[in-house]
Amino acid sequence: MKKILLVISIIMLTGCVSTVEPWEKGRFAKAEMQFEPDTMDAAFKRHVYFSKEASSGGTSTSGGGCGCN
Amino acid sequence: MNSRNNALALLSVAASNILATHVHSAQVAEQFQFGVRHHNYQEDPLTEPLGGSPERYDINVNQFSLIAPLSDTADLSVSYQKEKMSGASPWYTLKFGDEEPLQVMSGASIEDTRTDVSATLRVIDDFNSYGITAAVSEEDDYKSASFGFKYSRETEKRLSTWSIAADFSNDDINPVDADIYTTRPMDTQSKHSASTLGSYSRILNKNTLLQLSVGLSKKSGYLSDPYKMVITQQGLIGDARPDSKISKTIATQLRYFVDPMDAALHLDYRFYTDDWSIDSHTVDIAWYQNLLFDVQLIPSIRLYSQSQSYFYDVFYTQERADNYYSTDYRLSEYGAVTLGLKLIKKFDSWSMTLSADKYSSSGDTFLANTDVENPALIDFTLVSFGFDLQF
Repeated sequence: MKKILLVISIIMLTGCVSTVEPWEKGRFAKAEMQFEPDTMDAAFKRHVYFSKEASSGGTSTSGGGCGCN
Repeated sequence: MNSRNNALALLSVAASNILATHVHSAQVAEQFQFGVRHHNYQEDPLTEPLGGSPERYDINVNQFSLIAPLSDTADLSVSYQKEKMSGASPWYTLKFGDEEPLQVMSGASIEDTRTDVSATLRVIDDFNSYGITAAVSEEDDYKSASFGFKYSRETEKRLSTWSIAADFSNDDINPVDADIYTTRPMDTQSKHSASTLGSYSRILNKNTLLQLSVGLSKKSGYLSDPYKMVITQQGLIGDARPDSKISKTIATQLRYFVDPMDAALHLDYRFYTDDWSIDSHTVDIAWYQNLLFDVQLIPSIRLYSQSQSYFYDVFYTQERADNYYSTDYRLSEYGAVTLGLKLIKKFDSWSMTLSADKYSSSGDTFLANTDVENPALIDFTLVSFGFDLQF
């Protein structure tokens, strides 16, 4: 876990970061550049994978459970 | 004429850039947004179950979402989901000598509905965003209530955002037919959960956005599955798991816009670990391709693998000193691949979406490599259809 965190931190803090001016942010306004372009679809799939796999979480808090088996 | 057109073009660019300045900062909804989805989730039949029905879950889900602007600084989101499920569920495993383990299923008579309602209130104050969420979920035998909050803060140049979120839930399980099946608890069982998540997102350059998230979760109380059973030296007993579980996650999400292709690449990775000794790796890759006539096509692939919990076995030949027993495939070592394809067509103030996903699992997919595969591993197909409307 610590190794993964270290590698990701190094990637984030090195070379690929450059100054972005406000007028260069147009691409980030596009729906496809959001972390969750379709929140309903993402929420439903999180529920499916939460029900059918041992792992959950990562990009959201866990919320309530269900009796899915 | 040309100079007038150029001036208009420059004004248009300037306007879009003013909008873009606030991209990825939290923004209050300026219009009502309504979404509806219908999902059909269908598990493939189990091949050669020893008893019960091979037909597994078929679930139809209707999902609704409404986001309403309340003021210049606040909005309210409400979601409602209704599921109707029927089919059979894995009960317990059997093994004869050196033969492969066999799965005994329940009858195909399981029918249930689940209703899930949640509401989120957001207040946004320039660089700060505050949100609170309350949710309830109810089935015939299961009730869950949760409450959470989230705080986000952008840095001054709006290139980075820090977020912290936490939530708490209380679940009550009241197994049906407990008077018939003695392995099921007669009394209501409860479990509690608390989780927290910290995130940092950063615009790396004019095409790339990256987020890093770290999560911690604790569950306590009744964490067993009341409907599953295990054959042990003591006979047929109920699924028995530890009464607490602590899990940790670390996840990254990369968004990269490919100018020459007019497309966006999504690359996500999550590492999960818990104190039941389950580690998992999840990789999600999606390609958002813009096409003519406001159509978007999104092929995707998801790779998943997990190790098994320390008390899981596909079939127990010896007693365990800690008395934890479970043959649930979800605690076994396995891997899975999901292949997905989604189509979105946008119109002036609404859009329609259609998608299909195929999930296939086995004991040796992705990073998994187990000697004995659990016989109840699932494959499923998910088909979804819906609309989004702004007004």
